[in-house]
This record gives sequence, C-alpha cells and structure tokens, in this order.
Amino acid sequence: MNGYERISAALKGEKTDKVPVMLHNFMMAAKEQGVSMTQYRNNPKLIAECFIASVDKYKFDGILVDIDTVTLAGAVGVPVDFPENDPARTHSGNLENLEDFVNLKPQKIENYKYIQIWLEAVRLLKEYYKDEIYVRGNCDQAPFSLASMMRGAQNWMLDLMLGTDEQLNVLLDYCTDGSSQFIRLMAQTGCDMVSNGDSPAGPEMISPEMYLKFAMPYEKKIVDVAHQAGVAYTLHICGNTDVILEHMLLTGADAFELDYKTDISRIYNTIRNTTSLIGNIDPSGVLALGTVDSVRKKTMELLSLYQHSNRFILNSGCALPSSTPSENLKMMIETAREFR
Amino acid sequence: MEQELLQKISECIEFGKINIASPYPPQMKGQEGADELTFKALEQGINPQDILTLGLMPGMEKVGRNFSEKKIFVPQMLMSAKAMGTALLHLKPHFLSGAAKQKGTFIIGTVLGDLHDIGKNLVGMMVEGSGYKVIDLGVDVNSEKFIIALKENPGGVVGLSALLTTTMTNMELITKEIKEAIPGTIVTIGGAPVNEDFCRKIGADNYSPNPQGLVDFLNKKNA
Repeated sequence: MNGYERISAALKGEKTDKVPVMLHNFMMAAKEQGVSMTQYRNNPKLIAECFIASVDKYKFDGILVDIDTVTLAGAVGVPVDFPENDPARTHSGNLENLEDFVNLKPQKIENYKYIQIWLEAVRLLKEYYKDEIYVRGNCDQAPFSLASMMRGAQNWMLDLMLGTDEQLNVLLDYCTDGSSQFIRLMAQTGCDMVSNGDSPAGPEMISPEMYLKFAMPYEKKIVDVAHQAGVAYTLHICGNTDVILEHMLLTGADAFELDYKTDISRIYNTIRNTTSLIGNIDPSGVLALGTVDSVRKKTMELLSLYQHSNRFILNSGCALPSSTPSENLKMMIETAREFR
Repeated sequence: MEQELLQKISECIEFGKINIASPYPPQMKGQEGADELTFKALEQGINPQDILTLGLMPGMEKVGRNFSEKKIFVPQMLMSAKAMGTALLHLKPHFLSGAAKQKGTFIIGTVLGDLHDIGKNLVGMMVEGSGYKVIDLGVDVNSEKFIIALKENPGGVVGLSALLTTTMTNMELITKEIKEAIPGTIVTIGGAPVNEDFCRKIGADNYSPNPQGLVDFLNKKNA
C-alpha cells in the first residue's frame, strides 16, 4: 500500500499493511530546508518543496499542509503579526463590541493573499503526489474559534455570559460562512482531506453544555460543507476532551485529531468503530524534548492500545516544534512501521 | 452586620456578580454587586484586611475549587475575576498605604513567542484575589523582562504561561536564565500543553493544571 491508500483505508476502518502516519510538521519541514517562516508563508512552491523533502526524508503517508494558523482570521480582518521565524499570530480581535457585527462587510476570503498561497501550495502537492501520498489541506479555525479570534479570547468568553443568543448566533453564522468558504476553496485544490481546529471550544475553556450549544452545531455545518464538496474532514481540538468526545461524534467528522491530554482508553472506547483517531503523541514533552527511548516507549504504548481498531493514523497531537530532533521523529515512524 | 456584608461580598465573587447593572448571574439580577458592596464595607469602616481575607478570598477560593473540579469553566471564572477586580480597585489604596497587607509577590507572563493571555490573566486575577501582589508582564516576555521584575521585587515567585506546543519549549531557556541570574528563584509553569513531566524536564519548580493549584502552592510556600 502507498501512503494515500493507507490513510484512505484507515478512514474507512479497513485494514492496512502498516500503521499509517501523518505529520503535523510544517515548522520542522521549513526549518530542515533552511527556510524562514517569512519565506515559507509567501511562496507556495517553497511550501511544497519543504513537504516533498520531508516525505523523502521520513517516508510518511500523509501531509498536513498548515501555514501560520491565523490565515483565516487575517482574511476576515483580524490584525495579524508576522514574525520572521515563528508562525504568525493574533493578539486582539477586530470586533470591539459584540454589537459591531452589524458593521461587518460580507467577506470573500479568496481575496486574501495568504489564502491563495495556501491553496496553491496544496494544489502543487496534489499535482506532484497524485494518489501516492495523502494530502490534507488544513483550513484554520472552525466557527467558534474564529469568533474567538474576531472578538479576542477573553472578550468572547465574556460574551458567552453576557451576550444574547441572537448576537452570538449571528457572529457564529458569519464565521461559519468564512470557514465554509475556505473549505470549499480547499476542496477545489484536489486535496483528499480538509480540517479545522476548534480548541477554544474544548473543556479546557468552556463547559460541555456550551460546546453543544455554541460550537458543535457550527462544526457540523462545516463538516457537511466538506462532505458536499467530496472531501474527508478532520476536527482538531487540543487539551483534555474526555467529556465532549461523544458530543464531537454528532458533528459527523471522519476523524478527530486529539492531543495526549485526552485519555486514550476513553478515545478508543468512544470512537473506535465510527471515527478515526489522528494523533496523539505529545509533540513537545515527548517528541521535541524527550529521548529516543521515551519516544519509542510512548509510541508503543499508543500503538498497543489502539491495535484492535483499523481507524487509526499516527501523528503528534498538535504541531511539532521546529526544534524537534530528527532522530526522535524517525524513531516514532520506525516504531510504527515495525509494529505492523 | 459586618459578617453579613462580608458574606455577601464573598457570594458576589463566587457567582460573578460585578455590580448592580450586571445582568449576571440571573438569580442576583438587580442586586448590588462586588463593586457597591466593597465600597459600602469601606464606608462602614470595615478593616480593608478583613474585606480581603474574609470577603474576597473565601469567594475566590470557592471559584478556584469549582474550576479545578470542572463545576465551572473559563467564562464563569472570568465573571468572578471581573467581580473581584472591581472590589480590588477599592482596596488598592489601602494596600499601598499598608493598611492591608499582601502575602507576597507573583510575577507572571506569557513566554516569548506566545501572545495568548487568557490563561495568564485568569491566574493573575485568582492569585491577586488570594492576597498576593501580582506583576503582570504581559505576553511575548523574554528572560530579561522577568529578571528585571525580579530584581525590582526580590523574593518574587515567577509564573510562566504558554498555550502552544511550539512556544512552551521557550519555557526551558527562560527558566534556566532566570535561575542563573537569580539563584533560588521559584518558577512555576502552566498552560494547556504543559504537564508535570515537562516541568521536571525543564527544571521548573511547580506545575499547576489550574489556578487553585497554584494558589495552594503559593500559600504552602508562604506558610
């Protein structure tokens, strides 16, 4: 089986010849090619070259094309800071008051330069790999998280207490439109999968009841958009998601990308028959700062726990720091390849 | 009468009742909040120290415990923190004059490369509400800024916050440089991606998964 076949099979719950591996390694890939974040985010050809070199070096199955994680926010007008050697970031929102949404103009996110660069990078990779390596085009934030960026995280949390349902739903609808546009555009690149992150909607921040009311319904809309566009969908939520795993199933996502803080047994028991797990090795504590032996140990633990479900794709639980030692990443992949 | 007023202040903190105009929480709509009641308490001559230790701190402790037990989440906690913030504004002149004493100094910042601040802000508010002077250095903070703040506030405990797997690695260097510059400094870390194991690896002294854990740690150190 090639990489594309392995991941496609895992998403369908079918047996694979080896444990499929997808990497969240855009920063590592850029660094290993001697490319700064400034160079990376401005050149789709360079983005593609970084991932191609990474696949050549590590021989994994699925590419996760990620750039900055605030591209969609920038496209809807949130001020973005672009460091030379770190991913771009936002600090404050672009909506000072919840009432300001009435002044928001209809958005066309395809007009944003960095959206186009991202789409072109995915297009190039898909053209290069065709059906040999699985290509996932990440699409930044799901609606709740995008609303959080537009208002600023602290303001948004207070809005959930002090805003009316009508106000909140109008902003969430606006963000759903933005997220949907990105998903549709990404699907048109020919990629195999799209994804969003919604970590501000997790239980580290809001209650399961609030997740059900203000996040899940909008995630579901995005999943539907992805499926209508003919692509698989992965929902990424960081932090301990133990108490909302069953709620997340309501979105209909094909895969969940979860980090090490969620109890793996609980993940296995809740989702193994319906939804694939992508993850969930600790990217910093184990892969970036651990020893080769600890990487092997943690990877074996995970593989052993999940060995009776075909719906599994090995990855770190979140983005790998650029400082991750190459030998650690090789060990994780080698352990997976030897396991099965 | 005094006890009743202090109890009411505590409840305002616990339930996030900021002032009379605030519609939250629904069951306290139309009632005076932490703002009005703290002002009233001072007007009535209640000792500022008592307002802090018998009014604000018990309320904040309940908030901290409820948060760590996952009975409340960040939005509710922010409301409580805002309520406490309005109360502390009335008390601050009394801290400066020495009429009310704080238990120690806590210097907090989100580490270099990271602009997330909601966790840091919550922790800062909780620690302040628990009787400590808090110096908030903001976000994207390098070692130098922490060291300067420590030199200005000898004996302060440092809190490092990070939200990203890619920026938490900066905690290692910052911890090392702080401890080299001012040996014996206590460094605590927190943030969604970090854990106890990581704390040990980077040579920090304490990891708390929630603000109440940090307050407990500080109180133990202070005892």
